[in-house]
Amino acid sequence: MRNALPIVSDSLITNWNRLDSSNTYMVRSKDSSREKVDDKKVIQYLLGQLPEEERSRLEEMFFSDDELFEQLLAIEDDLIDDYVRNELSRKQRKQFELYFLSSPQRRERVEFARALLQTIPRPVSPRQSLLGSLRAQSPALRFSLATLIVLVIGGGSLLVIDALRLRSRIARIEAERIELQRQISQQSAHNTDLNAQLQRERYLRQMLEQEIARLQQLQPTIISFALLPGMTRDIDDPNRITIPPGAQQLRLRLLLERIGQYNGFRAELRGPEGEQIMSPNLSRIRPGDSGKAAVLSLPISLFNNGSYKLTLKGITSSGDLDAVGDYYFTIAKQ
Amino acid sequence: MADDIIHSEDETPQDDMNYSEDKIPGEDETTSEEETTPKRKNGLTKETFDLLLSTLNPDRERAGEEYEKIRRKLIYFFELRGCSQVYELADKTIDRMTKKIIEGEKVEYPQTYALSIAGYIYKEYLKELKNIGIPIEDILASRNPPRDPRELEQTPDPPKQKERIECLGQCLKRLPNENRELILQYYQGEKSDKIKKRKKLAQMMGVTLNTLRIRAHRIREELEKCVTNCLRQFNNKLE
Repeated sequence: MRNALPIVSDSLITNWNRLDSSNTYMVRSKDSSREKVDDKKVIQYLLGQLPEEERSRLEEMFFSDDELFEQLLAIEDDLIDDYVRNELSRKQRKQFELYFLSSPQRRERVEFARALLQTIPRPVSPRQSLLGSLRAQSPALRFSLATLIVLVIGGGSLLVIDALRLRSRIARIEAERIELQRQISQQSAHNTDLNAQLQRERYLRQMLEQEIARLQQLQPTIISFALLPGMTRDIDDPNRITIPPGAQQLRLRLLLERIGQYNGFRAELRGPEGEQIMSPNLSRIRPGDSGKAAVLSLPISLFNNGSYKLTLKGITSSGDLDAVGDYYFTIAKQ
Repeated sequence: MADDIIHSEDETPQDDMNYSEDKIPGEDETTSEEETTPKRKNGLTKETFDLLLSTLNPDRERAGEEYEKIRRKLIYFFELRGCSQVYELADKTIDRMTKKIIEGEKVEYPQTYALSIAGYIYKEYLKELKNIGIPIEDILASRNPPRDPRELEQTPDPPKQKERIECLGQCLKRLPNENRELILQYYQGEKSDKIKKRKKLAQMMGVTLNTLRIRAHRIREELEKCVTNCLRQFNNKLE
């Protein structure tokens, strides 16, 4: 004999039977669930208002797409918050309590939301709070409170002005914050550019080093010449260096007046027009001949026909530069 | 009357619902080997659990994550249907799924496959309820008589709520600054103002509103876990 009281809903079971026979869950591909799900539908789902077929379809999507599942949970957060803030319609609220709150875990989430919304500071509508307080009080107290409200409204204009000032200040601070953020992102973009530039420079340097190494491997034809400081053979024809065709390097032995005084040398080379050809910062010369001379090797390509002046500076033990002497010579290419 | 609530013993629910024609996979199918093998808490041996993991993903760590995802979704599935013992039902679903894999079932999409098994488990659950004569409405509405949220706001289990707020404060402090700032901004405003503020926040962060919502949810979830742990510690101290 069948029972008089309602037992398990037959429709719930038969709906699952229908799904079972179609075997939908097993054959649907993962990609097919990449559909847009609108909030309204998800809320209906959460409140148990969707027809079984749609509900199953949604669930299939949530199960096959983790991001959609997270979206569902996020919408659930909002729904719970709306319930706590009493922002649901009467019908939704009823359904929420009937259906959604049917598990202790969900009730716990509601309590959490209540705590969260209480903890996070939020602006309270003055009208709401005043009316709420008035309703709860006795007539005498209500009268006193009403008088107080009148007084407050009387002085309210000042508060409004203050509030407007504050609001404008907040807006200014907000604008400054956005500007700061913009600057940070600009700086970050600049840093990226600098990094790219640094990479390029490194690459170029590497290429140059390779080129130098390659050139060093070649056997250059070297022309050697010794020079004394300040000495010229004669005024019209100072130290003349004749460069034969095919010569690649000029090695200058710069004789020193004093011996073994410096740790090293730096030289500046100036051309026929007085133009700087080589900066002293770029040339570090080791002392040769036990400190009697400084030896400097230069590529021939550096020179044209004409008179040159080489200024030699000695590096002292303290790292300072001392003037050692000027060396004059003339280049004549054959 | 009790007689009215409980099924008579000679009544066969399977016949009523045509269950005999619709065989539930894995139901009442126990082998002698399973009966003798020691079982883990969730009903899986180490070997079967390893097999399940290897089906989910060849990388064990990822497989573990996938397992957790499936379990979580299953809990959600049963929770939304107002089932009691949702964790047990979720584990039962996973056990059944593993069993099917051992039997040679090819599972291409484990998550949707788990959902299909969950459907069967839910059907069994309803059947059990029917057998013991519990009206379906009892597991839903009547367990939670409607209450006015305003009334709840005034008396929401006050002592526990006080502790919860205290815990939440501590948990908020523990969040990285960026996340704390996000969550505080996200929950500003009410109704349409709230939506405007969220849109603005998303715009400032250069993300879509949906991405922002998911980020806020993740932080909230982290907070919820932290608060649950904190409350547990609080209760332990009291005991």
